[in-house]
Formats: sequence, structure tokens, C-alpha cells
Amino acid sequence: MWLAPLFLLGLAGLAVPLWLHRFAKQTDQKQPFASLMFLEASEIRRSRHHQLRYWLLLALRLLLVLLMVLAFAGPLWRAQARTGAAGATLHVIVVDTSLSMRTAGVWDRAQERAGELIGSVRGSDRMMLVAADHRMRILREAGFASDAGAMRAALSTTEAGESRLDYGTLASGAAAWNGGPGEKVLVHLVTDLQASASPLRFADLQLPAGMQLDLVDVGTESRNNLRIASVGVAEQNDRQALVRIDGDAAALAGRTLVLELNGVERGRRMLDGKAKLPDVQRFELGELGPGEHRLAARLLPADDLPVDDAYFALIRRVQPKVLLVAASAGGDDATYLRAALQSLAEPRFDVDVAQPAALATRALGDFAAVVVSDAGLLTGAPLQALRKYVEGGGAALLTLGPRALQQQNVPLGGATLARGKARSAGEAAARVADVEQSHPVLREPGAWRSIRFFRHVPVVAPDGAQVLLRFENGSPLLFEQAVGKGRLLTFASPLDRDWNDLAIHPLFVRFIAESTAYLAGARAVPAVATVGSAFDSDLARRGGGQVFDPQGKRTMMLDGTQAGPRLVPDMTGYYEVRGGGRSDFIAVNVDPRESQLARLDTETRARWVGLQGERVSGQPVATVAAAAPAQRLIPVWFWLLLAAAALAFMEPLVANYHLHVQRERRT
Amino acid sequence: MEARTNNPFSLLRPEVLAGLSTLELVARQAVEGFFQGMHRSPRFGFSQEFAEYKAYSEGDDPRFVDWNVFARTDRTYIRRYLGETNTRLMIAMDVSASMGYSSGPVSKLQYAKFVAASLAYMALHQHDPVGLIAFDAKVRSYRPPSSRTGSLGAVLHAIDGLTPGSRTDLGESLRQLREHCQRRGLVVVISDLYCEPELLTRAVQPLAWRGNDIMIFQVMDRAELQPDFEESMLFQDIESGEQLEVSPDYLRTTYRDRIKAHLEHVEKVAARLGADHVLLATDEPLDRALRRYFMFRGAHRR
Repeated sequence: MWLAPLFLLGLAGLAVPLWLHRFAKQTDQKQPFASLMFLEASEIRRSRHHQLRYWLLLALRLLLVLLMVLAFAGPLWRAQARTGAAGATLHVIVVDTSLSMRTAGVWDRAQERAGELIGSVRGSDRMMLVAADHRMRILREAGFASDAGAMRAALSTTEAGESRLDYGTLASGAAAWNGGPGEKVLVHLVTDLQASASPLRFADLQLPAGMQLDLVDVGTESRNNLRIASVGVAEQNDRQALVRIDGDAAALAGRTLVLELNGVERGRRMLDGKAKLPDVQRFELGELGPGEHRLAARLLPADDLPVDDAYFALIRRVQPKVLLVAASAGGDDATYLRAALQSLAEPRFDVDVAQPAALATRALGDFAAVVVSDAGLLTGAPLQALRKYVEGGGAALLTLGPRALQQQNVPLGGATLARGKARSAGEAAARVADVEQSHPVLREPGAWRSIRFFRHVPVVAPDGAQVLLRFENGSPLLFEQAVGKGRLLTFASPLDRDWNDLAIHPLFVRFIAESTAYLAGARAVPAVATVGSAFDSDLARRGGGQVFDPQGKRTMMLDGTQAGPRLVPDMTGYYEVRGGGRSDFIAVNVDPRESQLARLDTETRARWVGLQGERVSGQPVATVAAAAPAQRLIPVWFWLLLAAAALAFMEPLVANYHLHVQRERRT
Repeated sequence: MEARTNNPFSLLRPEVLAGLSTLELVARQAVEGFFQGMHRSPRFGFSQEFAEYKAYSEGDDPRFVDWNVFARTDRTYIRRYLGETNTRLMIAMDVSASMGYSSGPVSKLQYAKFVAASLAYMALHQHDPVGLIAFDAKVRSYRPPSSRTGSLGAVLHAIDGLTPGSRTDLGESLRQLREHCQRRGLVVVISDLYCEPELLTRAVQPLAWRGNDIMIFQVMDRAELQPDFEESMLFQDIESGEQLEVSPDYLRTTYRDRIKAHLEHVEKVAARLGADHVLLATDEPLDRALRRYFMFRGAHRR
């Protein structure tokens, strides 16, 4: 089997060394000598040896070409996978490493029971060690009893994590643990049988056909776990922090709640042992300055499950000022824009409406972004002031309206207005055809296609601009470009209802708010995540950066060219995202379901095991024997290339030796 | 030009002589260069040491008639001096294929031609009759000894026309030479002597017994005397075409021992025969050959 069989055509290259040697033989010269009277006839043997060396060189060269060709063709070695004997059993020892297993004493028992299972495997039976939480990790591939030492070593170096295990996910992932032909598969699940680990549908617990289940219970009936369910700011009073506590009321007695703001303790309170759960505790935070604040709550002392005794949250105090430039403060466009900008709760914009002339007199540096309702309004000193602001690092959103249509170029950005037929195309109705979905301001690509544009300003996007929305005729509707150190978004249609129906579409508010937030830099990565769940690290949009875990270790680094970077945190705390000239935090907490230590009842366990029995009885284990013998395809190109490299090193040495002989003959 | 250096013997270097157009020029250059180096007059043969009177016979130069004796005795006598004592010089030249071997600019045959031409030139200027016999497996060319005017050109022409032939048969060739050499004289054998020394004995001994003086010039190439190859070589015998691969170790050790033993053996055979053996390498100047001939000629002129 070959990866690239076309490279086998290179075998024709074998003719080259053959031709070279034939040629060399033709030019081979003998050394004339006056008389052989005093020479030894016994040297004929040496002559044969000499010939043999030429053959050696030829063989070396042929082999070199052959190995090179084969290496490029990429042969795959079909190897029989190491499988068990028919009638034997493959014991898949699955150890639950979810957060609940960190409950006091549970993990030690799990290791002990798993060790016993490893020791119980005998004869032709095989075993395999798997760790299961939000992902399935095979700690040791299938091996016989002789591998018990390695299995135990792998087990001893494994720790329970902070993520969640879903038994349904485990059951569907078990399909990868195939046994050999005729080999039974017995899954030993070493777990605390947490009720919250069950999937929504009971049928999802069923293992693949032919597998049997052995539930190894290592859990305890613990009633001593208290957790912090959430930390946030009161909606009515953003100077007050709310900490919600939930769990076993029995664990309330003697516990203290500590609140930390940016790593500094801001409050400490003894909990009432008789309080009803869930309980909400309030702390006064005082006036918080603009920026991001880390708010963490902890319960002291630790209970049976210490990890969920802490909760990490982020509070953003961002109220960017936005300058809205319109011909008239009472005009439709100004009204719609202001309403849209003020509708956003997070971040909350402070909108200031002004006429174009005010651009020359206002201190634009105070504004996070400037929105201009019609770029045609920008002329003279206001235009120069806005240009200076944007080139210095500011951001602006320009919409193109009737005034812009009167000009040759779009002010500030420099995009040229289309001419001829293309210009007249702006008079016709059009719809959006192409949406750059990866851009943060365009979250709903489907909605854009439903908006009708009666007219638009046909422009040609300048070099270096990224077109985010494009009409069916190819004319750009929205494009982004860099101007100096700043950013500029240009929307090639006004926002009143004469030219399009965007203003009455639900998308309008979101688009204006999102694009302004994007320009103002107010939109950041999702502030809260859960251990084991993936989320967008936002690094690609930042042009690259790094992510550090709560212990300060770098977990991800991207150069900005990779698409869709997603981070899966594996511990609680604050992850730090550095990139794009700023640093943000991500608060990562445990999945609340892992804090619920209630266990599956006996009946459910019996049904689960019985579920496998039903399947087994209806579809015997022996059906596994029908499976094709497991085979592995091992690529061997690397070894061929290595051998070719070794030959390539030897070939000049041997060839040089022969050439040396020829040179001697000719002298 | 190397040929114009102050050292006159540099004119005798074989590569210099090989650049000359004709063999006569080669011979003259070699002989005159040799005598310049010896600080002797090239007008040899006119020694002031009186040797004898000889009755004038037809062909003698009338300038040498002793008119005083004629006045007293009314008979014409020729005065003869030591240098004028004639010796018949017979040059026996091996032209077998092995003589065509060369590892440098001058082959053994070419070198042998230089030697032969120089000797002929020297001898004829002493009025010694010079003859030539060229042989390989048989006699290829024969020219009886003669000292007549124009014989130098004829001898040199004969020498010049020799080319490497086939295998060597020294015994048969010298047997034929004996048939041609009925009178005593000096026999110069020029060969690489690739034969058994005993065969040489059998071939040369009859000549010696007849009273001939024998000089043996053994011409060898430097590569034959001191081969120096770093790798194994596939050698091909020029005469037989036989091939043999020989290791460099062998060439550096055993071969040199063997060739040395062979040369010593030839030397002994020559001494036993009363012959003068001169080993000549094709990369050495001709003066040694000419000096040995000159000394040998002087020692045997009576």
C-alpha cells in the first residue's frame, strides 16, 4: 500500500547508475607495461576483488535510487495489531478523573480498586487503562498481564482533574475500545457514580454492542459539600457584589466566606449554620474605576470537595464615550444611531451628538470612537481633526449617504467612488451576498441577506482594506481599513429608511452596537468559562498572542494566522489572554454539576448494568468475532529515507575511491 | 630554454634531444655537448701520440702521407696516431615491442636510438667503421660496418627508421649477428634485456670468444626500475598482451627486489664475459653512456 504511488515512476531512475557504470566500463583503461616477467600472476585474485568493488558501487547506487523512490512513494507496512486470543477478555479499566473524584478519600479508593483490577488480569486476557473526564485519555494501550507494572505506573501518575465526566459521552466513546477477533470486552468503570454525570437520555448510557459493563463504586455518601454557585454585581446597584452559596446545608456550620477584589480581600463573613440554601451574601464594593476587576469568593475552611469552594468572576467597568456626528441632532439617522448605541448594556456607551464643525473644536481624544452618519459631511478642518484623531490610534465608523455620493473619494479612508456603469448600479436595489462571518461585528450572516438595500454608494475598496460585506454585484457594503494607527469602518449606505430597511430590522441595533464596541475596543473575549469546555480565545482577531493559565504557565501561543483557536481550560482560576496590545482575563470555574455529589441510586445502577445485559443477551458477545482482524498500517518512509541518507553518505566515499584508482591509471 | 643553460650536459638530457628534428643533429649535439663537458677537444682521432706507419693504400687520405719518409725511401707511408686506431663498431639494437614502453616523454627505443646515433657519430669521426643490426624475434635490419664518406647518414637513417616490433629473441638475433661479424671489433648491445641472464650468456659468449669487445647498454624506464603506484593496477604486457592486476605493495617491495636481482645477475654475467654492462634509465642524460663508451674505447683500442 502506498501513500503516493505516482512516485514509483521514479524507478526509471535506476537506469542512470546502470548507464553510468556501463559508460565507465567502456572508458576503463589498462596500464601497458614493458614486461610482466617480474610480476606475480597470483594478483589475479585481486583483480576479481577489484571488479567486485565496482559491482558494490553499482549496487550501492541502485539501492540508493530505489530507497529514495520508495521513500517518496510512502509505503505502508500492514502489520497485524497485537490482539488477544479468541475466548479471552479485554478488560478496559476506565478510571473516572472528574472533579467529584477529588472528594475526600475517593481518588485513593479509585486507585486502589483499579490496581486490584490490574492485578486480577491473568492468562491470555488483556487490559487497557483509560482516564475519563471531559475527554477520554488512553493511559496504556491494551497489554497482557506482563504489562501490569507499566499500567500501575501510569495509574499512579494520574490525578483526578477539575472537569466533568458525562457517562453518556463515555458510553459513546467506548466504541474505540475494540477487542481482537473473538475477544470479549469488559468495561470496568471505576467511578463515584455521581448522579449528575448521567446523560439526559437514559439510553445514552448503553455501551456499544458486545461490551459488558462492570461498575466499580468508589464513592461515598458525602453530605458535606458547600459550593459558591456564582459571584456577580447586583443589577440595581453595581457597587454591591452578590455571592450565591449552594450545596449541603450540613456543611454551612463553621464556614467563613471571603471576598477578594483584584487579589485583595474586601470582606469576610461567618456563615450562619442555620441558613437556608441557596443563600445570597452581599458585599459592598464601593466605586470601581474603569477597566476589568477580578472578583473572587472563597469558603474557608475547605470541605470534602475543596475545588468548588472558590468562584472566580470578572467585572467590567467600561463606559466608552462615543461621538456621533450628524448633520442634525434631530435627524432620522442621528436618532436611530443614538438609540442603537444606548441600547447596549455591556458595554454602556456614553453618546455625544454633535455637528461636523464640532470635530475641530472638541477634544476627540476623550472618545473611544467617532460615528459619522454621512461621510460627505466631512470637509476642511473637521476632516483634518478627524484624520489626526484616527491616525493617532482612534476609531471611526463612517456611513456613506447622499452627500458622500457627490464626491469622488470617500473622505478619510480614501476609497474611490465607482464610475460609469458601476456607479449607476448603486441606484438599483441590491442584497448582501457575501458576509465575512469570522469578523466580530457580523455575528448573524443569515440576517444580513434579508435586508433590502434600495440604493447604496458604489465604492471601490482601497488597497489593504478587508471587505466584510459585499453586494451581489460585487460592490462592497462594509469594509475595514487601517488608517495610521487607527481603524476605520466604512458602511456604503446611510442609516435612514430612505435607502434601506436596516434601521427597522432587529439586526440594526446589534450591528451598530457591536461595530462601535469593536471599534472602541470594548468587546473582549467571553469573561467566564467552565473547566473542560472550549471557548474562543480571540487571539486570531488580536493578530496573535498568548494565553497563560492561573499558575502562570503558557498554554497557547498563536501567530494570528491560525483560524479558530479554541482553548479548553483544565483548571479553575483566572486565565490571562495577552495580545493585540492589551491583556484580558478569563474567569474559569468548575462545572456546577460536578459539585452535586448525590449518587445514582441502586435501581438506576441495576438498570444501567441490565441495559448492557439486554444488549448482550440479544446480541451475543461472540459477534465481535465477526469483526475483521485488527490491522495497523505503519508508514515506513522515514526508515527508508534514513537508509537512503546513510547510503548517500557512503556513495561518495566508495565512488571517490574508484575515481582515485582511475586517476592513478591515467597518470 | 633548458637547452641553453651553462651546464653542457643539460644538452644531453633525453627530453632535450627528443626535441631536435633529425637524428644526426641529435648525435652531433650529444657528442659535442659531451666533449664540451669533458673539456676535451672534439677533434678526437688526431692525437699527437705517434702510433705507427702504414703503407698507403687506395682510399687513404693523401694529406697524411709522410713525405719525409717518401723522400728517403721512395715509398708512400701514412702516419698513424693513437686516436686513429680503427675499431669496428657493431651496434646491436633491440627493437622489440617492450622497447616501445615509456612512462615519460622518451621511450626506451627512442633513448636507444639516441645512444646508438651518438656512438655512431663518435665512431665515424674517429674513422671507425660502424655497422648496425636491429632485431626483435629476428633480425629486422642489418647494415655492415663501414667508415666511408656518407655512411654516417646511412647509419643514422637506418637507426631513425626503426620502430618497435614484436617479441624479443636475443639468442637467435645474436646468433645471426655472429654470422655477420666475422672480424673482431666492438659489439655494442642496446636492449632492455628482458630475458634470462643465462640466455644472454649463451648468446654473447661466442662473440666474446671470437675476440670481440662487448658493451651492453641496458635501457630501462624509470617506471620499470622504481614503479610507484598507490593503487592496484591492471598491467598489460606490451609484447604478449597478457593482463595482470598487481597491488602497490607488491610493486614497492617484491618487484623492486626482483628487478634488482635481475640487474645484478646481468651485471655478473657481463663481468664473466668480460663485457661492460651499463644500466641506463631513459630519464638520465646521455653523457654517462658516452663516457663509458669513450673509456671503454680507450681501454680496448689496441
